[in-house]
Order: sequence, then C-alpha cells, then structure tokens
Amino acid sequence: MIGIVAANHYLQPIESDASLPSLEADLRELCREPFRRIDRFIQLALLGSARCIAGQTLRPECGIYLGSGLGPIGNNIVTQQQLIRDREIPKPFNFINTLGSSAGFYVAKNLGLSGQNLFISRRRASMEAVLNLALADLLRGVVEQALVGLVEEVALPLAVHRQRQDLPATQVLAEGSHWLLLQSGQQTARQLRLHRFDELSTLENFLFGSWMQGDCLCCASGMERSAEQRLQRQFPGCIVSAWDCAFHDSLDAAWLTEFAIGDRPGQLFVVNGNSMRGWVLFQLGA
Amino acid sequence: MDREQLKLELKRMIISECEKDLRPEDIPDDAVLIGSQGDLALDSLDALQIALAVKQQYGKRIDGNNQTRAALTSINTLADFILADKTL
Repeated sequence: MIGIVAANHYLQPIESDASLPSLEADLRELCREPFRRIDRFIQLALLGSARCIAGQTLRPECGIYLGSGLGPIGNNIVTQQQLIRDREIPKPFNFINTLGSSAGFYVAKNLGLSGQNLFISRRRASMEAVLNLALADLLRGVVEQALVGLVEEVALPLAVHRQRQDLPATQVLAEGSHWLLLQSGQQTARQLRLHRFDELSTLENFLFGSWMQGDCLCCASGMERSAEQRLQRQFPGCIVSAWDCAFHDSLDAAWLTEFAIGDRPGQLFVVNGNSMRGWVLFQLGA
Repeated sequence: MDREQLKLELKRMIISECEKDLRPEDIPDDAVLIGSQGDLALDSLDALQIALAVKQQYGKRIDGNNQTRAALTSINTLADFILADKTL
C-alpha cells in the first residue's frame, strides 16, 4: 500500500511572449537559503517541492524522483546558442545546469535530504517512468519515503516552443512543477495504485469493473489518439484530455497532484500508453 | 575608459555573473575574490564564469598559468590585467 502523504504544485498557463512570471518572491519565502547559479527549471523544482513538503517532516533518506519531458529547456537553448551559433565556450553556470539532475541537487539541499536522487526523462511518459520507479522502490523497501516531482518549463517565444514540440499553433502552453510525497505502508486519505495492461480492451474491462459515479478519467499527452477517442466513446463526458488543457508534457502529474490535494469524492484514473508498449493506468482514490 | 571606470564595471560584472547579492561599493578594490577565506567567497566555478565574461567583454584570456590566473586575485589585479597592452 502506497499512501500520498502530501501533494502540492505550481501550474501556470503561459499566454504572453512578454516574459515568464517571476518566481523569485515565492522562492524567497519558501527556500531555506537564497540559491545562486540556478536556472528557471531549478526554480520551478524548488517552488513545487517546497510547497509540497510545507509542514511535513521528511526523513533525511527520503528519495527524490524527478522527471521531465523536456528538462531544463531554456538553459539548454542558451548553451546550444553559445556553442553553435556564437562559437563560444558556454558559461559554466549554464553548462552545469543543462543536466536535469542539477535540479534534484538543489531540491535535496533545500529540504535537507541525503537519500538517492534520480532524474528521469521519457518525454510524454515521464510521470509514468518516474512513478513506476518510485513505487517499485517503495514496495521493495529501497526507500520508505519518496518525493516525486514532474517539472516542465516553457522557453519563449511561445511559437517556437510549440514548433519544437510539434504542437498546433492554437495550443495553450503551461509551466508546471507537480509533487507528491509517497510513503509505503501508510494509510492516508489517498492511495495510489498502478496497473499495466497489454491490451486496451483489458484496460477498458478493468475500468468498467472499477468505475463508480463521480469518477474521472484523464488521458495523458503520451496517449495514442485513437485509443483516447475510443475511451471517450466508452466513457462519454467523463474524460479529460491533455490536449484540451493548457499543455505541457507531464500534465498527468498535474491532475494527480490536484486530485490528491482536494477532497473531491470518487477516484481519478490517469491512463497513458500506446498499442506498442502497452497501457499504464494510475488509480488514485480512497 | 579610465581605470576607475573599469574597476566599477568589473565589480558590476562580477556581481551579475556570480549572482552575488552585493552592490559595487561593497567590494573594495583590493578584496580577495576567490577562495572560501576570500572577502567574496567565490569558488573555482565563479572564477571560470568571470574568466569567460572577461574574455567576451574585454577580449583578454585568463588561462591556467600562474601569471594570468593571478589576475583574479582582486579588482585591482583584474583591472591591471585588462589594461595591460592597452592605451588609455
């Protein structure tokens, strides 16, 4: 049994090319110390994780499992421009932060954690990859607490950010930092379960058997579109699609976090996958 | 550019590049820049950041040899290094 001990996040639609919202005032309030040499991706990670663990006592050996579809994209662009366009040696602060794992380092430092610290990217299935590993480690007793975060950054201009991701010109974009504190053997209000299916029909049968009035099904951005349409026909009016929301690669983490925070009755199901690699279903309920 | 103007510029550059919460007037011209015992407590990564900024802004390369590395001792030595071979 894996319980969600705490959850919180930052989710902000980005609709203007003028500038990204400043996070500094929030970080000054939430961080133990002012950090130098951090980029926006690290700022987002610090903000979401600090909100999540506010008022919680963490074990120093709590594991950090950080995921992202695009990683520190803004800093990567700056570094690539220095290297390729300008033919300059990249600035050290930019260069070291091209590693997504830099963010995990600062989160650990801010929260006083010394356990394992992993960064995983699997594009539009990053939450699946991160949660899969965190849940496996919790169930096997590798860690007793796991702080799981998904962070997605927007790099302006918006049109280029859409083009980079092959998104339609009308797609609204978002930045996010979504965090769950998980603990094994913990009876909490929200329990998280992971199910895997080779066939979509088996997943559908499972949903029909588990579905209760008021439940909600969300299709992640990595979900095969034809399968999403099929589920929409099976569960009319009950489905939220990533493509109908202010979008980033790990929007499924936003839904899980939002549901975990709230006291909405029922269950949340989040599905991702395709017919080649199979289907994963997260079930969050009481 | 005169020497005093250059020193002010260098202080602003170091504050900006190293993200230090300081004002230029907080940095004495002879303050030790690098090392945990230094007045600014900058480390080797800061030194590399400053070296690249100096190269980009002033075209002067601070490399690994002792003579040029000594340029990073203080604002005074950094200004001397940049002004060497230049006519004011």
